Amino acid sequence: MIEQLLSNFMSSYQIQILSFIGIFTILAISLDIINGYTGQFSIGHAGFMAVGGYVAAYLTFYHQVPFILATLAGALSAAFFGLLIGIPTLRLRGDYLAIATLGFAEIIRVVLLNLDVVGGARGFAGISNLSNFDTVLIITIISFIVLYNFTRSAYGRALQSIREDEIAAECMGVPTTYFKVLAFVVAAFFAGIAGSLYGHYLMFLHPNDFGLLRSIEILLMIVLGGMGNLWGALLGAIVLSILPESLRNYQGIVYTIAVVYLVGVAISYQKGKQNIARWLAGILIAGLAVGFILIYGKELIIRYAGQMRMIIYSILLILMMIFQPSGLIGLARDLAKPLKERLRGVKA
Amino acid sequence: MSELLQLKAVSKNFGGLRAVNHVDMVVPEKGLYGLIGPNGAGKTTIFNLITGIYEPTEGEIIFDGSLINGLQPHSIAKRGIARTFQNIRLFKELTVLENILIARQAYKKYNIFTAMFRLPGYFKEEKRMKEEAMEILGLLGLADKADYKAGALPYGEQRLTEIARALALRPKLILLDEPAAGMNPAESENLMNLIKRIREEFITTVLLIEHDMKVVMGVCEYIYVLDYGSLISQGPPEVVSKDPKVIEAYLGEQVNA
Amino acid sequence: MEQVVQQIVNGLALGFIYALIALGYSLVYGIIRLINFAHGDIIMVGAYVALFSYLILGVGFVPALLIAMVTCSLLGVTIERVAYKPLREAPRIAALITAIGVSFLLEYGFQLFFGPQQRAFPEFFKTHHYKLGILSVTNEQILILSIAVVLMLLLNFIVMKTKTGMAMRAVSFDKDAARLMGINVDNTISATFALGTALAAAAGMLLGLYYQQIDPLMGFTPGLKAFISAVIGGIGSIPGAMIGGLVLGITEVLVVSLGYSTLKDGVAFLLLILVLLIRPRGIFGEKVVEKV
Repeated sequence: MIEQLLSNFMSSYQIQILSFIGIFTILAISLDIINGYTGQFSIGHAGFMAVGGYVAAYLTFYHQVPFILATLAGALSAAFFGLLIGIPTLRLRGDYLAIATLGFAEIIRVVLLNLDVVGGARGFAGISNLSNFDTVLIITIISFIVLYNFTRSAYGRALQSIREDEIAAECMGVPTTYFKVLAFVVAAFFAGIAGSLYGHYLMFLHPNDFGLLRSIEILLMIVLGGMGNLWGALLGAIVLSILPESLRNYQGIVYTIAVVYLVGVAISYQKGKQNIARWLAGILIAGLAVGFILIYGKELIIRYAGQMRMIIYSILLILMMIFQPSGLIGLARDLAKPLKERLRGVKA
Repeated sequence: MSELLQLKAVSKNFGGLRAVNHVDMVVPEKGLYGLIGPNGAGKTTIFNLITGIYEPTEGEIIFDGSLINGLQPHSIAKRGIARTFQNIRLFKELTVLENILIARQAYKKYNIFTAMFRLPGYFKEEKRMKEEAMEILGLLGLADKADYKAGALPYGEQRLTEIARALALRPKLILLDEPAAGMNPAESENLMNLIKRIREEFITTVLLIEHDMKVVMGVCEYIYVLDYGSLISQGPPEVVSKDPKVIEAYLGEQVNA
Repeated sequence: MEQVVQQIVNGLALGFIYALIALGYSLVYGIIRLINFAHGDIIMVGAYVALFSYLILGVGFVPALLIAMVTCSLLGVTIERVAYKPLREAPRIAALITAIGVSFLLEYGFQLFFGPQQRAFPEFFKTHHYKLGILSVTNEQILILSIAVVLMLLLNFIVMKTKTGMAMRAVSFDKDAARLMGINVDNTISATFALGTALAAAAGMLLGLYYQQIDPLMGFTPGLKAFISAVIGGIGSIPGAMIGGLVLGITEVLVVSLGYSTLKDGVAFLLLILVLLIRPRGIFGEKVVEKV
C-alpha cells in the first residue's frame, strides 16, 4: 500500500533501507529499555533477535503458521530467553552482566551454527517473503507507541529508579530484581519481533548475522542517539542505517563528513562558548583539515570506503562518550534551550 | 502504647569486625525516638539492618508483630518502613514529582498491558497518583519544585525531597538518617518543627539518627545512645544528657539539653 | 587415558597463554574497574609488532618479544590517557562503551593498514618433539610454558615487592585514600596499564607461535576468554587468573579432542555463566560489601 506509493519516486533499494530503519528502530528502542532506562548493560541483543527470527521462520517454513502468529511465537520465545538471561541479573552488576549477555548471545549463535534443522552453518534459506515495507512500518509504529507508553508509566519510572540508585529504589519499595528481569523480558520480546521481520523480509537467516557486531551496532544506535530516550534511539537507528549506505560512494562520504563536521561544531559550541576566539580558530583549523582531506585524499577515500565504516563507527563511539554522552538528542535539546528561553522571554 | 519496632539482641559482623553488638531497642507506636552516638558507632548500620540492606548476624528484628530480618528491602518497605539516607540518595536525573511517584508505584492499580496500551484505567490512576504526590509535596512546601530535576535542587530542598519521598510510602515507621546534616541553624530549626509535624499529620512513628544534639534533644521523647556498636545509655533527653557514660563517649563535644 | 593426559599437556600451553592475558585483564580491572575490551586487541598488536620486527629488523625471538612488549606498553598507556582517563568519573557504562570503541578501532585500523588476511607467523625455532615417558612435548610448548611462568613470577614480584606494586595495590583498594597518602594515582594507573599490556603483548607472540598464524581479529576471542578466566579465578587475584586460565585452556582442548570443536567457544561462555551463577566472586575472589 504505502510501499506502492513510495515506489513511484523511490528505488526498491531505497525502500529496503527504509524497511531496515524500521527493523533497527524496534531493536534500538527495545535495547534502550535495558541499557538506557534500567541502567543495566546488555551487549547481547542480537541473540534475542536471532531467537525470534529463527523460531518464527521455523514455524512459517515447516508448519505454514501465519506470519503474525509465528512472529508472536518468536517474540515469546525471545522473551523466554530474556527471562533466562534476566535471572543472572539477580546477582550480576554492570560489567559482569555485560559479559554474561555477550556470552548468552554467543551460545545462541554457536547452537544455531550446529542446528541442522534450520540450516546450521549454511544458513536458513527459503524463508517465505511474508514481511514487506508496510508490515515493518505498521509494526514499528505500534512497537514505538507501546514502549513509549511503557516508559511513561509507573513501570517505566520504576525502571529508571533502578538506573538512578538501586539501593534507594529497593528502600522505596521497588522490587528491583523483578523489574530488571521485566526489562529484559520486554526488550527481548520486541527484539524477537524485529528478528522475525528481518528473516521474513530477507528470506534468509545466518547465525553469523547475530554475532557481537550486530549487538554492538544496536548499542551504537542508542549511544549515538542518546540513551534513556526513545526518540534518541529512533534517531540513532535512522542515522546508523543510512550512514553505511552513504559511505558507499565518494559523494556520500563528502556529505557525511560535512554533516559530522557540523555536528562537531555544534558540540564544541555547546562546550566552549566561553572563549569565542579560540572556538572560532578551532573550527577553522578543523574545517581546513577536513577540506584538505577531501581534496587530496579522494583516491584513498574511494579505495578504502568499505573498510572505513567500522573505523568511523568506533571513533564515533569513543568521541560520543567523551564529548557528548547524552547523544544527538541531548545535543539538540541543549542547543534548543537558549532558543526556548528567548521565546519565553519574548512572551513575558 | 504498643511497640511497633523491636530489636532483640541484634548483632552484625563485617568479617572480624563487630559493627553492632547485642543491641536491644524498642520503638513504640507514634513514638519520636532518637538514636545518637559518636561517628562510627554503628547508627547507620542499625538503619541498614532494620531496612533489610544487611541481614543481622544474630538476633531478631520484629516490626508490627512479625519477624522481618532476612526480608528483602523492598518488602520491608512495603510493610511500612521508610527511610532517608545520610548522604542523600535521590533519583537525581528524575523530577521531584517522579521521585515521589516512584515511592507510590507499589500502590499502582493498573497492570503492564493497561500501561502499554493506555487502557481506560491508566489515565484515572495516573491522575490519582499525581494528586497524592502533589499533596505530599504541598505539605512540605515543595509543590512549586515538582518539575525540577531532583539533582538540581539546593541541598536543603534535596533533604526535604528525600523526606517527602519516604512519606509517600505512607510508612508506619520513618527512619531519618541525619536529616539536619549540613543545615544552618535556621534550617535545622525548621526541620525540628517539620519532624514534629510529620508525626502529627502523617500519624507515623519516627526514629531519628542525628549528630546535631540540639535537634535530638529538642524533638525526641526518648533516646538511645550507641558507642562502638553497643548501647551505652537510654532514656528521656534530660536523663541521657546527664549520663556520665554519654558525656565520656562524646568527650570534647558539647552536650546541651 | 594416555590421550587424555596428552591433551591436558597440550591444554596447558593454551591455558598459560590465557592466564597471561587474564593477569593483565585482572590488573587493569582491579585498578580502574573497567573491562578493557581492547586488552584482547593488544594481543594482536603485540603479535604484529613481533612479526614486523622479525621481517623488517630480522631480530630473533627474545628481541622481538621485548620490542613487542615495550611498544604495546606505550600503546596501552596512550589508550588509557586518551580514551579512558576523561571518563574516570563518568558512569561505568560510558567507559565500557569507549573500551568497545577502542577495541574496534584497533581491529579495523589494522585491517585497513595491513589487510584483513591471515599472515604466517615466523617459526623462530625448528620444532622438536621430546618423549617424556608416554607423553610427547614440543619445544614450543616448553617455551610457552617457561615464558609464561617467568613473566608471572616477575609480575608477582613487581606487585608484591616493589614500591610501584604497593602503590598499585593501594590505588585499587581506595583511590582517594591513596591520593591522600601522596601516591600519584595517574602515574600508578599508567604503570598498571603498561604492565598489563606488556603481558598481553607477550601472550600475543606466544599465541602466534601456538597457532602459527595471525590476523587483525585474532585477539578478540582470546581476550574474552582471558576475561572469562579472570572471572572464573576471581577477578583481581593473581593466582585466580592463573588457575582460571588453566581451567579454561584445558577444558577447551578437551572439548576439541572429543570432537566438538564447533562448540568450543560456546563452552567457554557456558563455563562463565555457571561460575557467575554459582560463585560470582570466582574461586579466589573476595566478597565486596557495598557501602550505604
